[in-house]
Amino acid sequence: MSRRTHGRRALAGMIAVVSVFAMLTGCTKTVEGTAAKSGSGDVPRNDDSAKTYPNLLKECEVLTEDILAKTVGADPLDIQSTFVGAVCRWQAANPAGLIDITRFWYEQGSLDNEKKVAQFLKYQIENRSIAGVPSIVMKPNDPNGSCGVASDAGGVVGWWVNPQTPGIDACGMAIKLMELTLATSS
Amino acid sequence: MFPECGGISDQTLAEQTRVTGLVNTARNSVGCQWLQGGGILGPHFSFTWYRGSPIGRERKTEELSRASVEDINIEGHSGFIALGADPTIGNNLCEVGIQFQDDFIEWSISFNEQPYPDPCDVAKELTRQSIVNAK
Repeated sequence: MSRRTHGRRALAGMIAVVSVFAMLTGCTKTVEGTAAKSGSGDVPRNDDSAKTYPNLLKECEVLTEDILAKTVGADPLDIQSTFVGAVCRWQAANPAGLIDITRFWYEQGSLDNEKKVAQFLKYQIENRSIAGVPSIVMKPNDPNGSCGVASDAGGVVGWWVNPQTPGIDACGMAIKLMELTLATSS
Repeated sequence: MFPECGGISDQTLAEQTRVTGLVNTARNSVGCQWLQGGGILGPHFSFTWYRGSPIGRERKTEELSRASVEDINIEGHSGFIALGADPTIGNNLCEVGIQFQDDFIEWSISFNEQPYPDPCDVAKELTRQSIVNAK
């Protein structure tokens, strides 16, 4: 389920304020907005829906956004949830470029099934143990080096790291996220 | 089996949504997410394939948070269609979930500024094409 926060409006408001200030001070310099900065500054995050439906987002909170951001090399303020449910998505800003993070938890799924799907999609697959749990590491043929992991835990749980620029260690980040996840539930 | 992105190309998505400058930011075995310019400030579109995950839970989440959720059948497969509204721009969000035994797929279409096509028409058409693309 798509998650629409009001960070966009908060950012737009900030830009408007800065623009007015620029006009008042006679400065004509263009103010540029950066998508990755939507959670930054002193604007509080809108979390009304999380308060109204406390269980709605819970399964996306196995790791805090601070830990997610840190793991992918982003400032804890530069991460935003975009999708919630059994599949969660976030976008974080690593200084080298934006990174999308996907988490999935298929309670009635299996590692074998994930392996079959990865084979069907012609991904490179490596079997390995993460925190002692049978897992696979999946690499699509992606110039930006996207990488996913799936582990045999509670059905099947997994993480994908999709950088928008090359040169980021997506597999290292995805494996780290899985190590943290498996540590949480043990 | 569904191909990546439900078999929907970036070009098809741009045609259906009439949004330019979309970037496929999360293409993987779970699905795909398209964002304008690759950032989160614009419209959000996504395809998601839930494998061994109950559609009922997702539908419940929709029922708690969307303006309306109704039954739908596309290409002989049943599921739900959820409509969401933005206080300023109107009905801007539509999500279609369709069940396949223990799996389901979901197309999520969310616009952020006028003008835009009917989000449910877009979600239904992309769902239909994804079902046809399944192997």
